[in-house]
Amino acid sequence: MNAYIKSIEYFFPETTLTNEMLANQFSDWSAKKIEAKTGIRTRHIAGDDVCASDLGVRAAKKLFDSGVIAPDAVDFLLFCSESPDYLLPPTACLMQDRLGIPTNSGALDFNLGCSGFVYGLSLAQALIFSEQAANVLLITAETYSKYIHPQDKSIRSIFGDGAAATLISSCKFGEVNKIGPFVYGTDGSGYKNLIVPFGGARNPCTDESSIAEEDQHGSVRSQENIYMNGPEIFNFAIKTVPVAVNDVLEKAGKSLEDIDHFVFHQANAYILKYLQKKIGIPKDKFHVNLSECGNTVSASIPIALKMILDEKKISSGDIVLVVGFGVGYSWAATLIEWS
Amino acid sequence: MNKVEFLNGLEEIMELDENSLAGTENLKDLEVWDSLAVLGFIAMIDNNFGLTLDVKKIMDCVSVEDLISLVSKYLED
Repeated sequence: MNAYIKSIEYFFPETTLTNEMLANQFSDWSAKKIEAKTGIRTRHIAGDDVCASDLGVRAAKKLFDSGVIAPDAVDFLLFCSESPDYLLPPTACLMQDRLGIPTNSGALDFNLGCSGFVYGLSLAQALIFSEQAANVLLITAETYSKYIHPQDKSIRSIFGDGAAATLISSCKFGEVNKIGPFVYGTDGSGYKNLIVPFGGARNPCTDESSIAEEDQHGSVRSQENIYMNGPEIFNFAIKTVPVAVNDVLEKAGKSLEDIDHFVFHQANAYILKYLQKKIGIPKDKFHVNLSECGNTVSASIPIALKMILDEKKISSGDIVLVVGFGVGYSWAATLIEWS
Repeated sequence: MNKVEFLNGLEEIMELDENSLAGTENLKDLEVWDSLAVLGFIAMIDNNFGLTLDVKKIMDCVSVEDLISLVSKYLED
């Protein structure tokens, strides 16, 4: 059976972090400057007692409430996050129970960041194509705010919490494949450039690892917080993404002109605009939708897709090229034909 | 891209007045040489020379002159 994206919903926590709030805290910044540099006006921040799974459950419930599918028709749950509820058990198992998804469904977590949505699509598509599932619920949810030091101004200005629930379903036999082909990429040599160094099995937390220090740019963090080497990530993105776009087009036998919409991982407006120019994508086909939510990691592509759908910018038959890239390094690209 | 255009590019990245950089400036004294300026610099080099510079080499630069020396062999006369 072939697969297509049947529906997308997203959910943000209520609390926001605006540029004005950041400018009040960091006196050398102005709200205008933050927006000019990042393209972001505000981000949503999960409360202390709210996990990525909670945001994911709310997004999935919106999907069920819309009437597009009932929980008992879901036969596979994929949960993509780097913020699990527990080290074990898998968060997807708890979510199956909370969402009322049948106990004869499959459910698994996978740990990916900004590339996660495209990998999730590939897993869902493969499960459906091999007739192991008919309705795959892909939940991509992240709460990076919990890993960010309150004094780390550069990272706080970029990331926001959020979740998306994407329903991938089988379509009638004989219809064209709606998702694919896929191209993938992995380069673990860059792992140190976007990392929470302590708190996992490699480096368990210690008294020292919680001590915060200031770096050369005035940002403060401990070894238990997210560290991001922005210039290295930028270098990685401008080297990798244009090649991935070219490769997926070549694999599909299409050219840039055949694509109706380009929805990249919404990293920040600066990277996105540079990639758009470098690849030579017409501005009106290239979507930047992060001003009201920031970089929501693996949820960013489906959130942007849903925003564009709500604006009625995508028509049936349109071809959308999506690329996820980031932490790992990990990246992937595919084409989605909208139906 | 020649040296003057390179300096003008740096001025644009750091939002300085045109032709205000002589090349001898210490980067530490330029408040606007922050991580976003580094991104702008990487973008300028990629855009003009198709070159990916080693980030560590950029971060090791002390002066504007050091930045120039990273690409001096590609600069036109």
